[in-house]
Parts: sequence; C-alpha cells; structure tokens
Amino acid sequence: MAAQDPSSPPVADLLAAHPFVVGMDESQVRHVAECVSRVEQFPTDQVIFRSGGVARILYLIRRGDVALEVPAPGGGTRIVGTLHAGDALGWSWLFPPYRWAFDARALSPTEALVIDGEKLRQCATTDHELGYQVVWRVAREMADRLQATRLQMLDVYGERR
Amino acid sequence: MTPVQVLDRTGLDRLIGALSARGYRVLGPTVRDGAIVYGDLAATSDLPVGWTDRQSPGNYRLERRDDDALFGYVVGPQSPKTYLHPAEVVVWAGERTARGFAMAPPPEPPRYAFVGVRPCELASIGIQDRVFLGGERDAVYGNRREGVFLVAVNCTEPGGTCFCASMGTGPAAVAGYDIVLTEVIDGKGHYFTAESGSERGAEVLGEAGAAEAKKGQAKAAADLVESAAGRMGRTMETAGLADLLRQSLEHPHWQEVAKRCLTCANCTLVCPTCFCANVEDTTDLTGRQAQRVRRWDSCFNYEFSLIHGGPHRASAAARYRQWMTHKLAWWFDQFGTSGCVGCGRCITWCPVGIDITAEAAAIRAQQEVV
Amino acid sequence: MCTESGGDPAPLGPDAGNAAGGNGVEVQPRQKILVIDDEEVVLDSCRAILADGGYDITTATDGDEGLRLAAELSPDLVFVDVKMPGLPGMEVLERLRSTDPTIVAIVITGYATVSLAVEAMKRGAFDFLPKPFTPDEFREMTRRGLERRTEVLAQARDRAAAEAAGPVPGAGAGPMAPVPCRVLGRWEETYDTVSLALDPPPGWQGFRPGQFNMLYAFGIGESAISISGDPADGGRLLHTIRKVGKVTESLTSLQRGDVVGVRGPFGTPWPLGYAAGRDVVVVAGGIGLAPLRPAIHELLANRDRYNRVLILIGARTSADLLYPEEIQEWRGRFDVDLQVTLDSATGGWRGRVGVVTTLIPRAEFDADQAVAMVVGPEIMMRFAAAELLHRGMSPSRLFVSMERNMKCGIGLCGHCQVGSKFVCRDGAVFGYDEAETMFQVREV
Repeated sequence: MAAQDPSSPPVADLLAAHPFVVGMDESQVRHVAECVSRVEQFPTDQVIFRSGGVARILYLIRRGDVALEVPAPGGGTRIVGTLHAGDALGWSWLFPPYRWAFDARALSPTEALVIDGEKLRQCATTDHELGYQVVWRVAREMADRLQATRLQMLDVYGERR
Repeated sequence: MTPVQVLDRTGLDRLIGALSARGYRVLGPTVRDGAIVYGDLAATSDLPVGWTDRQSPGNYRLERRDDDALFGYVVGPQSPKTYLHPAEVVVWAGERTARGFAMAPPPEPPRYAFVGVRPCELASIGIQDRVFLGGERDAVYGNRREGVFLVAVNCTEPGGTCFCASMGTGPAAVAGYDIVLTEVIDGKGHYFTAESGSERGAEVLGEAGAAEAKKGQAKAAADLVESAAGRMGRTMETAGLADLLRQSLEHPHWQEVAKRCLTCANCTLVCPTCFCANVEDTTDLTGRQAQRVRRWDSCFNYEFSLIHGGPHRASAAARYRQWMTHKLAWWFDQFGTSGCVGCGRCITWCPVGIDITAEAAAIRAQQEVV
Repeated sequence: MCTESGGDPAPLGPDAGNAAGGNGVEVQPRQKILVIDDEEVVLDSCRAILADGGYDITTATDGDEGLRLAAELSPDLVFVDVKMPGLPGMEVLERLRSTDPTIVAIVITGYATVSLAVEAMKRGAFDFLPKPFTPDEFREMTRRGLERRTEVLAQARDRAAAEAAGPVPGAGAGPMAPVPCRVLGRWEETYDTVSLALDPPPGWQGFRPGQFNMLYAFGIGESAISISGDPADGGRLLHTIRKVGKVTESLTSLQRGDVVGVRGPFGTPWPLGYAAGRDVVVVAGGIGLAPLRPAIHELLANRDRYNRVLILIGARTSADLLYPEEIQEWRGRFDVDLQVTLDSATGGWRGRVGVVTTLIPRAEFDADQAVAMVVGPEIMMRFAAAELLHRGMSPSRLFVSMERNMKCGIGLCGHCQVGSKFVCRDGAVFGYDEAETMFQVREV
C-alpha cells in the first residue's frame, strides 16, 4: 500500500474530480476532503476488504476495476458485480453493525480515495445538510445497484421462463 | 347503364344450368343439419325454398315461411371464405431428392360460381382480396379467386343480427358481382329482377333468357331493398371508432367482456374476413415425403401468440381486445378499410351472445373513466 | 476506357447495344448520373464535384423533368431531392424505381428525419444523403451508389442466366415453398447455440443487416432466424440458431452437406444509412448479438461514415459470449469503444460483471444526435431503452428488434401481429417511438 506521493495533486482536487461529490457545494466538499485519510493503490488481485471484516471506509474509485465476490463452494469465487472508475465502493460503513457483506478485490491496478467512514458519519451528525447530501448519494448508488441486481436475478438470457 | 332485366324461377334454373355448362362448380345456400350452409346447386330446388332463419345473440334456428321464397333468409355460419380461404389446404407437397428436396406445384383449383351471395359477403371477398392479394400474393387464395363467378342477391329483409347498413356494405350490392338479383313476391307474381355487373354476367343472363323488366318490377325490387335498409335491428356507430379503440387498449371494459367470453373462437371461424391461419409441416413415416398444410387458426387460441415461455396474450381480455381492435381499428392501418362487414355472424354464433356493436358502444360510453 | 471483348461485359440496359466500338472491341460506356433538385446551386456544386470523374452528369430542376430525362437516358445513379415544388421527391423516387428497378436512387434532403429515411427506404432508395453535404461525402456516396449499380446489374444477369438454366425446385409452389440450400459449415458457438453457413439460394440478391430468413428443416417445420453474417459476403449465408424447440433442435443438428430450406430475406433493416454522421450505439444482450453482427460489419467496413461507434455487449457468463474471436478483433480497433459485461462470473474473469444496462449511463456518446440499435430479451431491451432515453436520446433514433410467433414470414398468417404491425413485414426492426406501445401495454 503506497502512501500518497507528495508530488501528486492535493487530495481536495482529486476528490473534487470524483462523481460522488458532484452537486455538493464547496464547503461540503471541503468537509468530505477532511475525512479523506489517503489515496491508496491496489495492485491487481490485491484484496481490498473481506466479508465479515470491520467496515470503516468509503472508497471512491479513481481508476481501475474492483470485483465484489463471494467464495464459491469447491474453491474459487463468484463475482456478483464489478465497480469501476467513478464508482463509490462500500456503504456498510454507514449502517451498524458496520461489517463488509462481500469480498472486494482489485481486478486491475486500482487507485482509490480512502475516506474514514466513522469521521464522515460524525461530520454528517453535526452538519445535517452535509449528512443529507452524503446519504442521498449512497441511496442513489444503492438504488442503481438494486435495479441492476434485480435484472441480473431475472436471468433474462437463461432458460425460457 | 345496363337496363334492369327480369327472370322467373325457370329462368333461374337455366342460369344455374348455364354456369354448370361453362364448367363451374355451382355453390349456393342449402339446408343441412338445421342450418343454411353452402352446398352444390344443380337447380333452384336445391335452395332453401320456403325457409327463413331466426337469428339473435347466441341463437340460430330455421323456420318455415308461408311462401316459396328462394332467398328468404340471410347468412348462415359459412361464407365464401370457406372455399376461397379453405379451412384446411395443402400448400405444397414435397419429397427428398438428390438436390435436397423438391416441391410439387399445387394442383389446379376448382372454378367456383357462387349463387346467392349477399352484399356483405361481396364486401368480405373484397376485404380478403386486399389481405391476400394486396401485398405478397397468396397462391392458395389467388388461384381460387381468379375467375370466381358471383351471382349476388340483394337483401330484402334484414336478419336478426345484421348491421350492414351502418358498415356501408349493404343491404344492396353495389359492385364486385357478375350478376345481382332481387327476389320479389307480390300481387304480380314471384320474379327476380337481375342486373349484370360484367360482360360474362350479361352473357349468362342472356343464356338464362332474361327479359327486360317492366316498369313496376324494377321499382318494386328497389323499394324492398331500400325498406330493408331502414329496418336494421342494430347499428355500429363507426364515427371515430378506429381512433377510439386505438386509444382504449387499457380500458376497463375489456375485463368486463373477459368475464363472459369463453375464447371459444366461434366468432373467428364464422367471420367472413378473419384470415389468420396456422402452418403445419408434417412428414410421412419414412421421412421422405413432406407436406405443408395451412389450417385456420384464431387469435382466441391460447397458443396463437406463443413465444418463449408461453403465450404473449394469455388472458381472455387481451385476446378479445386483439380480435375487436384488429377488426375495427388496426385493419384500417393494415389494409385501408374496416375488417367488419356487419353480417352479424359473430353475434349469432357466440355461445354467450356477445354483441360486437354493444361492446363498441360500451367502450365509447365509458370514455371519461379512462 | 476500353476493355477487350471477353473481359468485363458492358452493363445491360438500353445502351448495351451501343457499347461496341467500331473495331468490335467493347467500350465501357461512361456511367450516367442524374441529379434532381430545385436549387440551381445544389445542381452546380454536384456538377462541379464530379466534373473530372469520367461520368456523364445530367441535372433537372423538378420531378417531371427528372422523370423525363430518366426515361431517355436510363441513368445508373439518380440523386433526388425530397422537398421540391411540383411533383414531390418521394413520388419521383417511387416512379423511377417502378419503371426500372435496377436504378440506384439516393435521396437528398435538408430535413433529415428518421421517418423520412424509413419512408425513402421503403420506396426503394438505396441510401440517404442529408444536406448540407461536403464534396467528399457526395463523392463517396456516388462511388457507393455506382458500386451498388454494378452489383444490381450483375445480379440481373445472374438471374437471367438462372432462369435460362431451368426452374428452381419449388417454383410455382408459391412464396411459402422453401428453396433447398446446402450447409457449407457448421460450428457450435455455445452449449445451446450453433451457427450454420449456407450456400445461398439461386438468384439470392443479398440481404440488409437486420433481416431474417425462414429456415425449414425438412418434415419438421420452419423457424424465423436472423441472418447474422457479413452482408458483403455474397457467397455464404450465416445464421446463428439457439436450440429452443423441435425445429431449432433439428436445424442445429444438421451437418456439412445437409440441406436446409430457405425463404427470405424478410423484414426491415437497421437504419445504417440514416446513422451516417452520427454516434452509433450498439447494445447486444445474449443472442441479440447475432442480428446485430451484420450491422457491426457494415459499420466497421465503412467506419469513416459514422462518428463514434460504441458496441456494448452483455451475456450470461463468459461461456455464453457469442463470437469471442470477433469481439477481440473489434476490441483491438482504436476507432471502436467496445465493452463487455457478464451477468455472473467466476473469480478468473477480468472484465465487468453487471447487467448490460449498467454500461449505458457512463458510455461516451452524444445523446442529442446518436442512433442506438438494441437487441436482446425483451426485458433487457426495455430497460436498456429506458437508460438510453434517460441519457436524452430521442425515441425515434432508438431501434429495437422485436420477436413474435411467426408462421409465414410474409404478413399472411396473422400470428406475428403486435397492434397494427406485422413483425415480419413492418419489423422486426422498429423505432422505439413505434415500439413503445408494444413494450408498455401488457399483452398487446
């Protein structure tokens, strides 16, 4: 895990470029920036988190590809979905018991902004407007993911229903 | 403008004979199994002489008349489509060959002459002409249709379920016939006024010995037909009907009809314009001979709209909606006319007496609900 | 330009007799181009653009004059403006084509709309050139039109030769009689999908991407199958068939040398002419890639006619992906944005996992002008269309391919009707503005 290179752009700029904060006003983006602990690089096949682990982090993917997967019976894994540049990875930091539901693994060299979930939760409690913005975005992510997952579940390409 | 002529019953026998002599298979209404159905005619005695029909929603029966009218009834369950668009026909017969397989051209179809065709049936033939000959020519229909000789009969008494006047298809025949007759029984006797609609029609009338009609005879015939137009038992309100139905696909009334409709397909079988057909490929036991058979199908059949997993139109509501909306609205988009000729057969032969004119009126009446 | 006798024969037509030069050597006549447009400035620029091309160019300022000149000259290629005072361009087009079906006609207009394009195609236009056009665009369209003319004349010769050779088996048995064609090749695409390459029937005049054939398994039955090969390859007819019932089971068990019955091509084509100059978004779900492959071939063979080209492919698992080698080829091109996603994958998969609709929100295309072609299971098409419309795409530029129970393929059996449309004759390709009712009204 490489620490942020001092010659790379400041965190605030990197954050401002990410779709997650689009629509937030400047002070809100600054608040979120204060919760960014670092920029992290994950080489290919690096496990980002495992299911059951403590979920304290919101990852904003800047580049690369991440697979959400579960271990499959008989070895190997089954990928349930992939996330890519511009996506927000993880919402288990927002709801108790704050545990990851799936494994996450980098499929290609991936760079993500690491946001301290607990710190962000506290900011949201004191600043409700910021809280609303953050939770709204997480909700939208979940809605999109849910709809896509339901379509996956329909298995439209599969056997004739 | 050809002058109106007149024939008596003997003349009509000669007319049938003349058609026979020209090699036609002469078909017309006959009584069989308690209904008036198409059968072979050798003479006027084969016609339903002295019979009439009593038709109402879900009901049909024959009754004796107190005169000897030859055409004193309207339409039975069949129509010319029974012969021009047969219920079951071999489209081709094929066999395996060195090149793969070869199809034998279809056998020569018979030449039909219909005597006693009603104006609504003429209209239905015109409609099926557009269906089968308007785009890709259907060989089965086309081969039978070419050269069909049509002797039409104007209606002088509306049937119990008829509404041809409101559909613009009767009770007078306007075009599409070789000969048109009107039967008159009055104080002056029992005769048939006759007009030709084609050269060969004029020739056959000549061979039948038709004479020029006396002044009163033509008028008596015309008056009867005009009076029939005014005595129709029901009407289809056609103004704006196609658009109304196109916009009523989600109207609650379809669910209402569905409670009554058995999806038995009787209406499509008796309807003179319904054309949907299934194509069945079969082979003999050796697998060397194959044939393709076309058989009447119906949008009311459950499997009609089968795609993967099941039929697309599973509910009765969807199937009734398909039939009626196609007949009265989408037919215009496809073929430029309505698909309905107002013959009333679907009303008579529906086991539960569903009346297409009433259903159209119900949808029109409940517009504010939608 | 002279050719020796025994080389390329002069084109058929009323001038064929005049082609022979004085010494018995056949002279290749100059190709004749007729431009009909009410604006003199358009006629002048067309003349100027083609001036040194070795063509005989004639112009007319209205439809009546155009038709008169066409009757006199029998042009190889005609450009017709749609909006003219007097006889309308569409009418001119129809009359030109009915008088001489070998004429290649291209419609030009300043009011490019999809319905216009479709209308023009239905009346026999070969292609569609929106105004204003650059000299290069006009030259390119002329080149393609004349190429097509050569093809059409060659086919007319072939047909005449075939007729002279004797009747095709089934002739006289009507449009419901399949023609026997040999299987040239067969290969398995996935566990339930097989592709067959067929020797085209005699007189085959090619197909347009999006069309389908009725394939007949002797004694078993027929099934409507999209043509899924390269439209430029006249020597092989490709079909990718999924095993879903008795007929398709039989078709997929055929081997090289076996014979299949063919009727077709039927149906409406993808609007590739209309898509010129625009971004093209191809969205293929599962076996939906089969009817789209011919369109992709044509898009890539004429890549410079289009703006961006995006190919978005979804499949159930990696084993269900169709044409993986071709997908690799397309992916390797710099001028194509190709993305593949699976519904489900095992850990070894390095690509995207998620339904194909998830590719649409972030795809790079200009929704204001883009054309989309979407095929897959109906649910997938519905949701993909929703995403594309959400991006701001116009429903009249979004095209889908509908599937219904087909028994005849020629609009006579009634089974494939959806509303007033016969899917076999008015489709299977529909604009979403037409297809919306089909998707939204249940059981229609």
